[in-house]
Amino acid sequence: MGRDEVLGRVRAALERMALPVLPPLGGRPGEQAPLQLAARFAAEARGVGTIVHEVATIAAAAEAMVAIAHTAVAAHRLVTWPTALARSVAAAAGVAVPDLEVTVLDCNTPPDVLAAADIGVTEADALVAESGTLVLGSSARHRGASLLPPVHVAVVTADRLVVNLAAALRLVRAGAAPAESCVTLITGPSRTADIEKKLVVGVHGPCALHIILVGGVVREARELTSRADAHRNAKPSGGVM
Amino acid sequence: MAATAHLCYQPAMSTPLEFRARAAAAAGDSALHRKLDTASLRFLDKRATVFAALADGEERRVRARAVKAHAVAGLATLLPEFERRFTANGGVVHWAADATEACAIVLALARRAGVRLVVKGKSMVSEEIGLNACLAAAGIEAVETDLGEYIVQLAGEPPSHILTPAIHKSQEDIAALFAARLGEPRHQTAEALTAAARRILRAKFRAAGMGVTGVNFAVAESGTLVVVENEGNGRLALTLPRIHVALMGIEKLIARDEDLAPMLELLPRSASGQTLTSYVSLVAGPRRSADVDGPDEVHLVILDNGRSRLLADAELREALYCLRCGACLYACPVYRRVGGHAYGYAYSGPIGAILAPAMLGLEAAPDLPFASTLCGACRDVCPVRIDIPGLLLTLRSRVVTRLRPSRAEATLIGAWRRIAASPTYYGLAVRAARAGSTLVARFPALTRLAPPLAAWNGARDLPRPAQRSFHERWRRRTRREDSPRGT
Repeated sequence: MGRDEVLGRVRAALERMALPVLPPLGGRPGEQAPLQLAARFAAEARGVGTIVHEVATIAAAAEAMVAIAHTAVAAHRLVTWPTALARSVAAAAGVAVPDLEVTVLDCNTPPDVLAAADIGVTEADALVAESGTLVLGSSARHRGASLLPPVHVAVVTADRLVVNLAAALRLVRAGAAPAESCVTLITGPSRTADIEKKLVVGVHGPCALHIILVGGVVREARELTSRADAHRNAKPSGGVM
Repeated sequence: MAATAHLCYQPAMSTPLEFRARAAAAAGDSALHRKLDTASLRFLDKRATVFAALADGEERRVRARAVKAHAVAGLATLLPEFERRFTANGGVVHWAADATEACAIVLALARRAGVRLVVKGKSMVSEEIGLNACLAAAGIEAVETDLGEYIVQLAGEPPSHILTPAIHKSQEDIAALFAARLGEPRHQTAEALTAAARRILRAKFRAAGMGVTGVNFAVAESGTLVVVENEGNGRLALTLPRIHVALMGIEKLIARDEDLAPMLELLPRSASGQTLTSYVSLVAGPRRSADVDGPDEVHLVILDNGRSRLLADAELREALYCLRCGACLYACPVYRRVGGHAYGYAYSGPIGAILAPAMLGLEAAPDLPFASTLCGACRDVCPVRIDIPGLLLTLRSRVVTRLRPSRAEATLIGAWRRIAASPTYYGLAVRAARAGSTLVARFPALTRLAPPLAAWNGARDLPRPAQRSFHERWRRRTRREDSPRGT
């Protein structure tokens, strides 16, 4: 009923209206030049209040995680995605930090555990250098881990770096059919300017966002983009890393 | 909760939105002006900075406009295409011809699932259709969770800005409100107020049976809904409750996935002076069998409510390109003096002054097209380059020709047209005005014009013509320059 009425009115309104030409696909000129992706990413992310830990090895990533757990105020409960990198880094924190209880999230985890967590550990499908953005998929992984705890820690290897948002969205879309139910772009901690346009960090989402960037060396943009594409395409079943 | 006291956003055609009285009251409220100026100038500064950092800011606006123009012109095919993809992704599409239908759809979904509590992400469409009042009447609590929306809901007021709903309230106002309505101590900082809202609303998120959000873009090619926000309340509303209901107008569609990134790079720059907002959710349906959280049901209500009327109007159609970024409100000198409530409609400021008469009908908001100085600041900041002053002029001419044809005004303008079109008459008129001004200089009481012109003159000085007109000076000057050169 509503459908026919609405679509009928739309068709009537657009009768004899020619379809304008869409701007051509593809990126803007100039972005194919080699970029220091990791450096750009770190600078942009820091600019929006993200704490970036650049480390060379997974062992160093674990050390960074331990340091985060030590400094987070009253952190007793840590939840982590079950993906290999996140899990191993989280486990290191569990061993090194007394009184820190580490839970690996799976489909049997009660919602209360996630709701009560102080730190959530995740991995990212892609990192956008131009805006300091994390791209997170949802397949088989808790969306809430990057949302409910006051501290969010994302562990990412530098081969996930891409130049811009367009490249990141292409990457995410390439693997999944049907599309993942929810892809989330995260740029800095939760924030608001609703009171007198003053910036306040930490509203409904995490108050602190840490990114542990593993192997963040300077590489050529195009090479990284194509490598990340290849990585994604090798796993057409999507999401799970 | 204060779900009552909502302004009615669906005015019957016989009761025009009362702009003049509210604007007159607000125009004398200097405390309001300070709040609006502080917030607006902070925003305009940030916006200018992020646009200055772009080498191709203008190019991006042109491109974004083209994307929206294409989508709006192609709605007849894009809407069904989107519906097909979104349904294939597991979502459910509902169509609403007007506000009443849209509210009825959401209410039926809530009743069917026995929902008692609804958490709401920011949605101007929900303000437009008056959803909270509708749910409250059915005994269902609807809680706004965007901090600004939560503040105005507690105050029992509608939002006064598309993006910054509580822009008309100072930090002290909000601290007093939280103390009175929530029993909070008098918080001294914006941080403490925000922390209180987080604590109270987190419990609501966990208990709610339904989350309602708006939509910033809907991509036809993949059937994806895009929700842009900073606080995380949108993510919570579309992740935690069992049912997610998204609301959008028909104009939110874009055709291709490839067009999303450029739009996402432009909207936050225009809306809040950010490179990108903290969160962008790309929703492609309910949780899959492999997912461990997310809603079981995702519904989308596609709303017309006057938009097809605007779509059919070739002169005004480009108002449908609007991204609801709110930049034109901050930039508008009239908005900054009268505030959003004066407009009496969910959408205020320059774009609201177009949308209200264009979507509700001219007779519903005949004063709004005149609430502009036509300075063009709105057009300069619009991310999709809508010619807002041009559209306002079109609407003004319609009001004058269709609603308020005045014989006296027509005669006056007609006379002026004849004078201005003839150099002889014009010269005579200038001389007459100068003679008049000499008279005024001798008798200052004459500066007060007689009614009805007194209304104009009440707050303005009558300008005095120069002793020599430009034409006269020009003639004299050329004569002077000619003579020495001639020798």
